[in-house]
Amino acid sequence: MTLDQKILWTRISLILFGLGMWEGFCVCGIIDPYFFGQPTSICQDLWSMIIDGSIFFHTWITLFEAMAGFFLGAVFGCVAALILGMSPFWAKVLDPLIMVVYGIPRIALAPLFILWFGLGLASKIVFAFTLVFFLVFFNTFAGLKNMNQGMINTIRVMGAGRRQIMHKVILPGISPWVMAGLKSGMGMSLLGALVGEYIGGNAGLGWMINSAAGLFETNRVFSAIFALALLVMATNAVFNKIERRVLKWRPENINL
Amino acid sequence: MIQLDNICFSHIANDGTSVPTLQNLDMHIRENEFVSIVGPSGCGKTTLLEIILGLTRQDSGNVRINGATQNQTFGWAGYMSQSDTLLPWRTVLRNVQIGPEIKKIPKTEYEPRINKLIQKVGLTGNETRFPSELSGGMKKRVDLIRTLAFNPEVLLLDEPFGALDAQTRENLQQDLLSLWREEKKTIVFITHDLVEAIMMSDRIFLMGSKPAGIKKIFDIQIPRPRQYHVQFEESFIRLHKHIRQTFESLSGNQS
Ligand SMILES: Nc1ncnc2c1ncn2[C@@H]1O[C@H](COP(=O)(O)OP(=O)(O)O)[C@@H](O)[C@H]1O
Ligand SMILES: [Mg+2]
Repeated sequence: MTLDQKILWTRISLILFGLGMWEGFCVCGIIDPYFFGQPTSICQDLWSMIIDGSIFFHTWITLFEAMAGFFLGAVFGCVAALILGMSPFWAKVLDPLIMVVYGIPRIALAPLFILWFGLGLASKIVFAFTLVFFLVFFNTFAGLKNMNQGMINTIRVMGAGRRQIMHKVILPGISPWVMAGLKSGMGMSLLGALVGEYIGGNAGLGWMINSAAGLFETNRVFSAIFALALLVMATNAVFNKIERRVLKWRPENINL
Repeated sequence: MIQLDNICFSHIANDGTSVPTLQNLDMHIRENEFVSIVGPSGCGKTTLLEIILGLTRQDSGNVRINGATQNQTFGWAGYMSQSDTLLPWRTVLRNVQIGPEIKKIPKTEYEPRINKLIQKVGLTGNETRFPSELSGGMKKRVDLIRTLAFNPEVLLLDEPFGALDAQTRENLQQDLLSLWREEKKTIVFITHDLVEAIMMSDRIFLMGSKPAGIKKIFDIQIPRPRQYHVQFEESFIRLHKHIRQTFESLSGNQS
């Protein structure tokens, strides 16, 4: 057995052992499945939602809200940072305003968004957007501030105009910073969608968790959490793949 | 070719005070000439190069390139800055291609030239590597041929071989000299190493301490091609000693 296989099997055994303990405690009556859930019942519940397709529907709703907020936040955050990075005047004008808006805990605005944009998808998308926007904005801006002046000079001396400098030096140069912003933005967009659904919604995994918990359907809560964990893993895997491609020029390991 | 008249320049320090760096600097570089600029560290050599390039604007005085006033005109010179400015997201080949790309030279035109340059400095086989995978000497080679790739008339090189070991440095010096022999170019070469300056140049401009101008110009009449061992010949040593003494007396009476 190779080391990788060994790691994999140990991992699976650990998970099975944990689930077995949980199930055992429920059967022996040490913990109350009514409050803590029971693995076999969770499986049954999940299976029933796979059969009627509802788990896919709600996962899709949450994913859609998160992704829409993510893309809007990413695009606007990036563009806003580039504009302010290129014009020191507007950066100075807007700096305190941005800090004030950023300083408001966004969760305090969530009920307002529900009021303005309704119980449907739009309010969650806007909420996720406000979370992602600032992350991407600040990261991109920091990337611009850290651009290597020497690189820009060398390319300018060759006769490059503003546009050429922008897409041959600045955009690739800030890409590691933007990617870092997008990475935390991914997590934030899901969080935004979930919290939006908790506060006021009628679909999605957040809504499912919130309403099931209200009815003490603990197994249903765990089903939704399970679907959420898979969703996070899948989006992270996709993102990591993209990141490795975009940043393949970076040295792999840095020894700290 | 490059004419500087009465250049003055002051840096504005972070606390707002103005620190004179260049004062009444005159300089005339002829076409196809290889000149070195030597001076104590911090005397304003890099600043001078940036003024010639149009990256920094002088406070007063005139810069003329081929008779035309330098007014942020770019694209006529290849510039190798003191620090590493290779684009880390581009492979060796694509780094070298950036100049022709910017000038919109067709690929069929620049490809043979770039291949020849890569071969010339011994980088064949490393075309698809990224800068983070190269040694210091290899990076300098890439940087050198990047400045040459779009075939500029003038090369401005700021301590290009500064941080290299002696062996690599000698190889690169010879590479540069033979490239210069093949394609006539005007080269302005900054160094703090007098032996290197004498080895490479037609003329050496000596700068004084800040605020500096050109204090002395030396004509180097050692016949070319110059191999590595000319530095052990008596005429070379005598010249070295003479420039060295001038250099020290100039820096000495300042501090
Ligand atoms: N951005 C700056 N602000 C203030 N002073 C500067 C700045 N850049 C350079 N200087 C000063 O100008 C002088 C000349 O710098 P530089 O041209 O880099 O010298 P050299 O290349 O000869 O070592 C130095 O003494 C340095 O302290
Ligand atoms: Mg310097």
